Amino acid sequence: MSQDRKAAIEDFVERAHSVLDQVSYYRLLSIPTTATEEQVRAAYYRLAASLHPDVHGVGVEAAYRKKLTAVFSRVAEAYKVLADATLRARYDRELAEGNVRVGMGADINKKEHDISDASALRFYKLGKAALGDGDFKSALMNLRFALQKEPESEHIKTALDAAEKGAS
Amino acid sequence: MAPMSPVIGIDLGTTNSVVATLVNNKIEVIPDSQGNRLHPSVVAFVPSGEVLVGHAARARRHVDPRNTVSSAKRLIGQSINVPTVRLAMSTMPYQCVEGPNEQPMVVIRGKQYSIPEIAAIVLKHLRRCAERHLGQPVSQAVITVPANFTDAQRQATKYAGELAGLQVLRILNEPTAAALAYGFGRSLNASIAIYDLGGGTFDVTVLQIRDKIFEVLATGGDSFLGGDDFDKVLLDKLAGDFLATNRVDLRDNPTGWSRLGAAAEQIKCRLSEDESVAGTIHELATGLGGEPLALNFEVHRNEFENMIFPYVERSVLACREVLHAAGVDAQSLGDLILVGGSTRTPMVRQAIEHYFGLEPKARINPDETVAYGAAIQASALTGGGLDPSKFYALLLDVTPRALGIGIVGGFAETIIDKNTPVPVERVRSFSTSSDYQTEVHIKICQGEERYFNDNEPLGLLSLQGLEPRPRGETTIEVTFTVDSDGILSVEAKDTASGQVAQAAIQVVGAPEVDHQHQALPEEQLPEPLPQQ
Repeated sequence: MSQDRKAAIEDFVERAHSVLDQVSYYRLLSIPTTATEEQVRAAYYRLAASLHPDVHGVGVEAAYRKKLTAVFSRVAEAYKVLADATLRARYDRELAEGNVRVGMGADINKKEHDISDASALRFYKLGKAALGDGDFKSALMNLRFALQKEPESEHIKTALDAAEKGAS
Repeated sequence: MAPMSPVIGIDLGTTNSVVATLVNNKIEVIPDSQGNRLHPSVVAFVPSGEVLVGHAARARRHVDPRNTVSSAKRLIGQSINVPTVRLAMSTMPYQCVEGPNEQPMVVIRGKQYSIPEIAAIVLKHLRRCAERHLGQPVSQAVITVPANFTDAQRQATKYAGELAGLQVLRILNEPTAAALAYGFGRSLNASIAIYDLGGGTFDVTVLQIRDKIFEVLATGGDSFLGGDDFDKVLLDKLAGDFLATNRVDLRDNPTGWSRLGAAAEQIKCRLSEDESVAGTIHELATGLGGEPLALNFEVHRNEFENMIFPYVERSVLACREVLHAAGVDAQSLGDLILVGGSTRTPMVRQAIEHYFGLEPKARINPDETVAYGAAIQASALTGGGLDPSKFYALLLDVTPRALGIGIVGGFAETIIDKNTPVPVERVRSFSTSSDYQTEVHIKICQGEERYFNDNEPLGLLSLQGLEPRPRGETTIEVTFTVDSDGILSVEAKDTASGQVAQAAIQVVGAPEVDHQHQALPEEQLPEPLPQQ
């Protein structure tokens, strides 16, 4: 009984770990995008009871513990975002644009930007943050500054486009 | 499977410690050889070379205060240069000097002891009590610490456990331990608040409990607020009275000061029961003619309450912040649990009852609650939680403070937010901030302030041998991992070469780590890359 459960969890951890940067928070928690806050929490508790390294005891092999930690911490991140109405609304907007993670750290697997000027980068970052908050006025201002410093950047242009659409 | 050897839970307190274990699903508090369940966290160095711990040591506090070490928890894992530590040290009757890595060292008859060494003596005593009581060797333990203990304080506590011959399975937050004790064996579905006012620290934690899952929603507190402050205001008042009547300042007299301190503590405890306390404290000092000087006193409860009001108010303010962070309002809380001896003070109870609009529960002896929880967690970690019959409890704990690094411009960039569930791993990318730099310094800090210097520095990691390139063209990947103990490890990697930072994190005030204070060139600090 316990052995079957252990094998099922190992299988889940392996699969989840390999696609961690590709699946949405909803997929990770196995809940519909319409899930209520209560359903989000229930899903988190259910997964935590299997994935939290503590449940596996102190003798877990280091490599497996590292994977468990990576998967559990992403599950917890998904929960923190989806259980908070404001963060969830922002995440849903990002998800619609194809980003499966939001505001919790950079995705290290893809090229982040094509900006080399430090101040352009700073303004770009501020602009993106404002965009995420739905503050289009501030986003426009920052992204225009950024583009002035680095007129060739596609990343700045794309963000500026989005800000202009949002503002109008 | 190997036979289960007992695991113990230890509440290593500022004033008293408690040790407990789970036997057949029941918690047992372990007494010393005299049957005392509370073990004073006091170490006395007797002239014969013998070292006493617990009640025997406590009795030496007034006989030989300079060689009797108490309240060491107030100093553990901290830099001697922190103003609050200096203040705490100034009230200790024993001598402290600066040791390696800014750590305070206790000096006993010319020999120096680090604070973890002192704590290890207490822990070894508790371990011996457990071994005698259980009749078998004990080598694994869960030790509790205040929720707002820093990384260095946790590491120093863990190190003390190791010095005492214990494998420390977990460094557990005290309020969380109290919640485990509260919810263990009951099928609850509620959010609760734990108000923990101990001898030297104050914590408040809000949790959601559902059956065996204990989720910490938010935690906070004040690491220099506690019952010792109540003693101190009384002590100052009594010393002032003594000075006024006898023209003798007891501050210059360690024995008298320590006797007066003990009296202040007793008066405080009696004021929890009585409206006023009066009496005489004998032999506090010697007069000009060699006659012993005494102090007649009378303290009324409301006079005492006026003196401690600012401290109680500080704790209520912290409650407000934590509830806000948890997204819970006081009215929707299912229960309120009081932990720590200082919650026996009537005014403390009234203030929090008023704030929370709830009458606090005290199902378990408040002195023993934390050790109960530690014992439950110890069993949960060794019992094999994948088997439902052995799934005792699962604690979903959080980081008590934000963790980040110093970036150009003197700012701090948060990598892991406050109240993030642990264990957690976060990767962030940074770029070089100046042209052709070949090394980058990652300064690590704890705290929520915007400027690095306003936060608490944790350590330094240097990544060397970068290929010289124009600024912004080298990407440094920084990984922060906080394990279930709340202990942080940091790795920095040059993504081009795959080279990983060699240096270990240097934690200020931690034992046996060389701390070098070097001025870092601003241009070698990293520059954050935009997210997404």
